Amino acid sequence: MTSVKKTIMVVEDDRFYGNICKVKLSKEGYIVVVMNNGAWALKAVAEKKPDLILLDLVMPEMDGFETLKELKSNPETATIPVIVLTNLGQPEDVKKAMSLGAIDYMVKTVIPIQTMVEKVRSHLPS
Amino acid sequence: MNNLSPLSKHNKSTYESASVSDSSSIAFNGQVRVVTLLIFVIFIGIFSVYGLNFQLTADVSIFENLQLSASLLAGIASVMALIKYFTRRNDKYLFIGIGFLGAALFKGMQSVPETIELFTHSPRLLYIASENGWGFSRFFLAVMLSVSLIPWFFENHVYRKALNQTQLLTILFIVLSGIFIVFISVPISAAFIVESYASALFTFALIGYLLKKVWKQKYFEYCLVLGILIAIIAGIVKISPNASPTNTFILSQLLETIGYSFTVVGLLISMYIAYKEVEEAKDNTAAILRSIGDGVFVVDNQGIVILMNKVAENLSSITSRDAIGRHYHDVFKFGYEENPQKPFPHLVEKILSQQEYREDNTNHPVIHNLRGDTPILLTAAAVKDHLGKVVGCVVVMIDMSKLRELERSKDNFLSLAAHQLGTPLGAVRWYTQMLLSGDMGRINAKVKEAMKEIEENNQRMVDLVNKLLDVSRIDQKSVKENPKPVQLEALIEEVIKNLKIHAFRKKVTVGFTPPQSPTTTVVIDPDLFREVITNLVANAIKYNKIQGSVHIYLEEKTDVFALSVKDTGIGIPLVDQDKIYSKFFRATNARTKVTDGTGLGLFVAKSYLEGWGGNIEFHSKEGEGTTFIVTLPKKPNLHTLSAHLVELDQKPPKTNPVKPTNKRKK
Repeated sequence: MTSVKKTIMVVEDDRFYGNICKVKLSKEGYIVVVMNNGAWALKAVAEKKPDLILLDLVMPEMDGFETLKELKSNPETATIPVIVLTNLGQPEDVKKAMSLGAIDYMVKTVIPIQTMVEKVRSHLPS
Repeated sequence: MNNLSPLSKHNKSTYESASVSDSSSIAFNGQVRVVTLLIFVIFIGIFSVYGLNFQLTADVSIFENLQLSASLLAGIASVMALIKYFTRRNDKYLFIGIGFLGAALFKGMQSVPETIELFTHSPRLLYIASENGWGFSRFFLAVMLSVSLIPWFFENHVYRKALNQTQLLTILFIVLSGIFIVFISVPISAAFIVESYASALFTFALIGYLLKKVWKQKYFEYCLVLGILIAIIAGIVKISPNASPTNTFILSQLLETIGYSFTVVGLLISMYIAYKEVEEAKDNTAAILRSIGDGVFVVDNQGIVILMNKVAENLSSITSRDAIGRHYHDVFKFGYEENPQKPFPHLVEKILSQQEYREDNTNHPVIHNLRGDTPILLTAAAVKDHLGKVVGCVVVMIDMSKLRELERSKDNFLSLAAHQLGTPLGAVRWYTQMLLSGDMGRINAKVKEAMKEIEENNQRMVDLVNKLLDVSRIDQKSVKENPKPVQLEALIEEVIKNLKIHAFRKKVTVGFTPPQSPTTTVVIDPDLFREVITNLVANAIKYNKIQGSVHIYLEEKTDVFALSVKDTGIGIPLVDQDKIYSKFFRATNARTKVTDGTGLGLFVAKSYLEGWGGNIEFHSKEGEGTTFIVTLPKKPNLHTLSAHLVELDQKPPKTNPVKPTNKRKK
């Protein structure tokens, strides 16, 4: 097991969620980068090289679906696992995100924070 | 019989308003034409015979000329009054019409020369009548004019109160007897008696019409009053002793002719006024119809469009010029918003055959036009004639686009609001959970207790928001399902486990009796079905007594699963039992005994179950408990979109090159 800390990028426009993810995941021993929208995330992703991305779907300017599409179309970023973390819980949103290449899907109001941490851990490439 | 279409072909514009404004005029055609024709034929017959008489006898006296005119006028008056009766259905005109008809006939009979011997072989009474035509004619008219007052007497409340039928007849009898006694006491000729009676009855009719008081306002009654007055004078002239009987006869006959012509003039004026009124009413009706903000069209009993307004033109994208005369199927293309292939019921045909047209609750009707489809609300009603026979159908189409837009924005608002509420609630929940797990440092037991309360209340709000979202989806008919094979026992056990904490707090025991052999799996959305069972079991716990019990039974039958949830709770009061599935409704005892609750759970449960083709019912006794029985088909109905989702489910995600296979490794 490597001692290098894994980097997780949280793409979230709601500063409270961004903050709580940062606090919780830092506590779990990850480096957390919070991006306020999709466009910034796409710019930063080359530089930060995150091991996993937590992606919100409803965001201003560039929404999560579009960001996901962009991430997956670029060969350099296509391999980064993306977990969708959103309030949109309708099956069609889940299907859409999954078909665009998301690895997992979490509805904020449904899952406890601990589950979020566990899912992040399980999807991180070793 | 087709009353509408032949007319509509010839005279669309004038007919179109009448058919709507006055359904009785639709029936005017058939019978009235026949009766009017018959009367005319009789008169043409009489006058041709009479005219023949003129031709044969070169010597035509003034008296005979006058008699001819009087008879002719009486005939015209009779026809006009009868037409008025058939159009207005006022019995007064029937009696007046018959009166004049009789008068004309009797007069005509007397004028027929005896050589023709038309009446010599006819019944005795008719023979006498023809011999004394002059007197009988007037007598008959006078009787009928008097009788024509009777309907008015009975329509008029003041007189109806003062006099009943028997009293009226008694008075009539006394008056007649009085006159009879007066005349019987003097030895006079039969003609004289008849004439006197006629004059007396004319007087009676005159008084009656004067009493009605409308003679000042109505042209017909005014002229009739004048006519009767002149007829009385004519009678008096006739019976007055005079040196020269011939001159008296001529004068009397002249007066009578003038009297009749007054009546004819009165009838003419009144018919002209009525005609004017109808024309105005037609214009008004057409204007009203044009101004109606909803689409209206009328078809005859063959389904042929005979009338439509501007909005209907707009909705169908076809002008009324093109539409009228065509079958409504070719003009108005109806369909269903949700289900374009589904055949639309033939609503007009149903109405015409007096069947019920029932609106489909799950599919909204639309009308196809150049702009695409416009959502509408349809109502159809039969157009009936005065006999209650269906002669057509009027259809109203209400444009629902604006309303649908409003509904949509309301729904959008609801779902947006719920989403927006969800975000901060979720954040609060996560912070609380983080605090509780000690991530922010150790907290003491008291704080921990308070944090748990916060978490729980937060969860209540999250649940409420989710339930509101469910309701908004049900209302928007946008419930999206993600069906998977589900084992019901496992799902029920899961629900019981989730609700354990609530049961524990109320000291309620929750039991479950699964069927002896495991149930077959059912393809259904597990989240939605869990929601249904959770709502039922949570209610059974929430509205239970302390240390009560809840028991769940599951049975597998041939086509359905039967699931019942039996509790020992407060029960549902009888008065509330038919309302418990309504949105936001909470039974009176539930409201007072358990303060929290949204009144949405059963609504959601019923909506989902019915969507699957299942069913929910209950029996309950206040204070003893309630049992809810759910039946779920083994093959529940799934939404078309859900089927699509199932398909998607089976395909591997297209663009996911690095789906790791070692999910659980770390």
